[in-house]
Amino acid sequence: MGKPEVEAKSTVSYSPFAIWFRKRGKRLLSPHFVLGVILLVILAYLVVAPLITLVRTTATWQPTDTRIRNENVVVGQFTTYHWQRILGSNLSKAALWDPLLNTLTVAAGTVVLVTVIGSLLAWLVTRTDLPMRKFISNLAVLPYILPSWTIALAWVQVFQNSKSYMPRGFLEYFTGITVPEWLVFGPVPIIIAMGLHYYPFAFLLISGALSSIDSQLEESGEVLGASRLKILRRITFPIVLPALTSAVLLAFARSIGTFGTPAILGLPARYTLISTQIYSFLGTGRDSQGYILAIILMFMSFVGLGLNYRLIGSRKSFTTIGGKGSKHSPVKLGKWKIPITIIVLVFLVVVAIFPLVLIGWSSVMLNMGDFSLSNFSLQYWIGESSRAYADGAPGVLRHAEVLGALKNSVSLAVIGGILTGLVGMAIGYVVVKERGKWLSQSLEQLSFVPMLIPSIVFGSIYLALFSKANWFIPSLYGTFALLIVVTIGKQLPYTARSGVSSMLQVSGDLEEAAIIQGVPWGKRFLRIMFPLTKNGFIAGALIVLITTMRELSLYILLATPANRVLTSITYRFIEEGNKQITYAITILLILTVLILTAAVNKWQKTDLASGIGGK
Amino acid sequence: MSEKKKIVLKGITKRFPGVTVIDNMDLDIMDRDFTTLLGPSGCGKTTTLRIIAGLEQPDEGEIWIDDRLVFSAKRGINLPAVERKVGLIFQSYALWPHMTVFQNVSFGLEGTMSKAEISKRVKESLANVQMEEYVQRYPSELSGGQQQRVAVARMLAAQPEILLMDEPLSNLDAKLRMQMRAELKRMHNDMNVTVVYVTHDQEEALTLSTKTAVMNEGIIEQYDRPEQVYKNPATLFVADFMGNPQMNLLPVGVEPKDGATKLTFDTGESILLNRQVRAGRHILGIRPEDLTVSSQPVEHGLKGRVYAVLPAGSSVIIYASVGDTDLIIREARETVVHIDQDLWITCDQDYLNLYDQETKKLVG
Repeated sequence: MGKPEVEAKSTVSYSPFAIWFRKRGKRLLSPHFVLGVILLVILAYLVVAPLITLVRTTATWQPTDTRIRNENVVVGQFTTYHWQRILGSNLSKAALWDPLLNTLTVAAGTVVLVTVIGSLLAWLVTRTDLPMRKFISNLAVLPYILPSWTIALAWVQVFQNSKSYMPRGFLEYFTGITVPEWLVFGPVPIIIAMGLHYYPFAFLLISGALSSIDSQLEESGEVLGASRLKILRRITFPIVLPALTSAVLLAFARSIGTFGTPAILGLPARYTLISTQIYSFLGTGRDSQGYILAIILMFMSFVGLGLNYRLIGSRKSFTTIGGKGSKHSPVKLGKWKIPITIIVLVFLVVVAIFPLVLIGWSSVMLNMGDFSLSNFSLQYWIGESSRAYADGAPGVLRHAEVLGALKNSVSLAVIGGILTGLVGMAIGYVVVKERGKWLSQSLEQLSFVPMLIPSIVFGSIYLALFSKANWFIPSLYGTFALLIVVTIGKQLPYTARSGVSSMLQVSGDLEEAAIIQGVPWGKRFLRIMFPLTKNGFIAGALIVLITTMRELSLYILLATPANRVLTSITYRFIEEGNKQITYAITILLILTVLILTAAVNKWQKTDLASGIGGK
Repeated sequence: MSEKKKIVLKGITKRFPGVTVIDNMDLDIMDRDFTTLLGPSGCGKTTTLRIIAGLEQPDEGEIWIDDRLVFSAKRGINLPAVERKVGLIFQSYALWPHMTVFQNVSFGLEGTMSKAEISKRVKESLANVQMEEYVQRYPSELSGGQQQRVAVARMLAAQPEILLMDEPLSNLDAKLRMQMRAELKRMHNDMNVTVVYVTHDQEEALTLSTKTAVMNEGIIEQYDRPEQVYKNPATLFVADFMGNPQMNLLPVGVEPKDGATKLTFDTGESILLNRQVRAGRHILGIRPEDLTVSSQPVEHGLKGRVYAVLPAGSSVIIYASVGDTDLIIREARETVVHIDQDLWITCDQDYLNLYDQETKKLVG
């Protein structure tokens, strides 16, 4: 039969371009390539443009700079003025070096506290015969769900005293003990409040790693006659190390960028961190100088990341070794069992429940500092507007602005969560499909960048970027859409990570089995890839939802009177000194988060840890 | 089986970063053949299958199916799997875990025919593999063998003319594997299909196929009927790869003598081969079952000493030291030999292969 002769049917004579296009174009037109390019454009807008704006602003004259005397200010011209101001002038000490030192002090303290509490709890829960382990691990995660400043507010409410010209706190009221000033405001309370807020990171990551180690690895050490301590040091610790350093890094990155807690516990004692210093620069129109500090913060996060990578490097894959999940024989606590149980429970009650109770209680106190029953009042919840209380603001449940903000917060969290989750899944899909190619790498790396940019700076750049119309995007200043866009941009690292890891879990065969049958791409994605990665999507969206509900720094500069969110309104009341209203709104916020979380959990079982990036 | 070419691969080359997985491969697969691609892991057999399926795009070459050009690197032609009329079974089965058995089979048919037709077709395919009772089950509720059947039903439902199978039996236990082999063979016989089957299991290749392509490092070492591949391996690689226990390979000196050929072993003994082979130093290959032992001296017998005796049920495997090499001999199960006993070994000339030491190819 020889050579097939049907060639003529498909031969027309091709121009070189047509041949090139048919060879390369197939790949260029493949759905995941097209999707990847679209995502790249979105990321360029959400991540790259802000970065460029950030750097450019620090090196050019800004409109607000025209008030500076003795300088030849031409708006938009290049200048090193701002960098000189920050790095080498009489302002440097107060603007940079002191806040930098304070930030590093606080971050170091927080990291130590987070690691110690997190790993101890993780070890107790996964490896010992501690009773009520399930209950304890649920309770242990609670502080993460609360807004970061909850503990700070509660701290002040416990320790403030008449000596510092404040209303009497819980401690002074009931015991008469007056604590020194440094225990009320300053580095020590900031470290404790942040440590207690961020330790769930370490707890979730480390207990995840501990329970996924194949027990045979440790048992073989035991069989060879190694002591328990040696096994812990030489086998368990190195295997858990990646989780541990991830937790340390997360805690470090979060604590240097957070704003609420240092504002509440630091500013009254004039203890500034870089984050609060940035806020003060941005609030007074000195954006360039604020952004320089932001670049310094980002550099610190970046160095942390690099260290993490150097330390773990190729061993990262260790964490996934041995998914057998064989049962570990738990360490018997023996006579220590009861004392340790009591200590753990007391600790968790103090950390997770007491602040809530205290804040709730404080929200029904008519006058601050009086914890007696006769002082009970629902004025700040349902009271009518009265000049005597809260500068005439009505109770939060009657307060139109508060209720509007509540509605905004919920819609923002739900819509933002869903959209960010979807973008994250799409990124995960392209990253996995194009693995090893430039598109995959650039998407994965770009989507991680917002993690490095402190929230407050992120918000401020978006304000600058989107407040005027450019290209095809109209001015978004003061719109709800801007809040959504900034949420997607900032929270993308979490959903992109969970997107990549859940897409990786779906074997390529499953999609190819549909390709073979000629199922078109859209249908494959909707009917196969999406259902199989739904859990990762929900976990990612849930994390965004919770984070958004209690996120303050990101929105504080963006929320306008027409578009307030609960957190921004809370901070306004904090600044005005209306404590009880603040407390009431915080309780309202926490209840909303708990209800939303419970609703999602009831609808779909999810694992919070997988959303944080534990797996 | 047939004289019509079903699949033609011409000059197929596939490179992954840093490696050439398939190197300028030509392969003609005849209509209604059951062709196995056999080779060690990493030899390129799965890639070849995926290239035929259209899941992987070669860097060079052409593919013709039914005299129709379905892929050409030069002309940028690349038809999708549906238009190549291929079906594929994955090693992992790749059943969609969130769909029932029915949905797994019907999913690919959606949109191509009416609901009633789909339902009828799905039920037929499932009945074909005796899985009609399980339509509402999810894959996780099925045993490995049952999942396998569903994968087969899913492939058959689209009525492909070419069935591609990627080690479909490797996840099953030995007993089930044997049974599924029989069913696959029956299926191939009953249906008008061409099968391309990837495996690293030589027994599977020998039992199932009408043609076997033995692959190594991206090239086809031998493409022939399986009994031929077994009897006359074309290269040293094939000789060594096929057969269990493996073929004996020993160096011999080859010189012509009186119209025949004299083979001289390193121990000094020699035998006469009654056909002509080019002179030189070659490698002699002979299968264990083509060697015979005797406890009495035999003319032209190699003298050896028993190193170990391994009874294997249907036969006895004897390791014997001859000089400083070991020979493996498979004898009838009644054979009685003892460790350290002296033996005289003779071979069946018809089954003796000689390979060039340099080119590693069969010379006689």
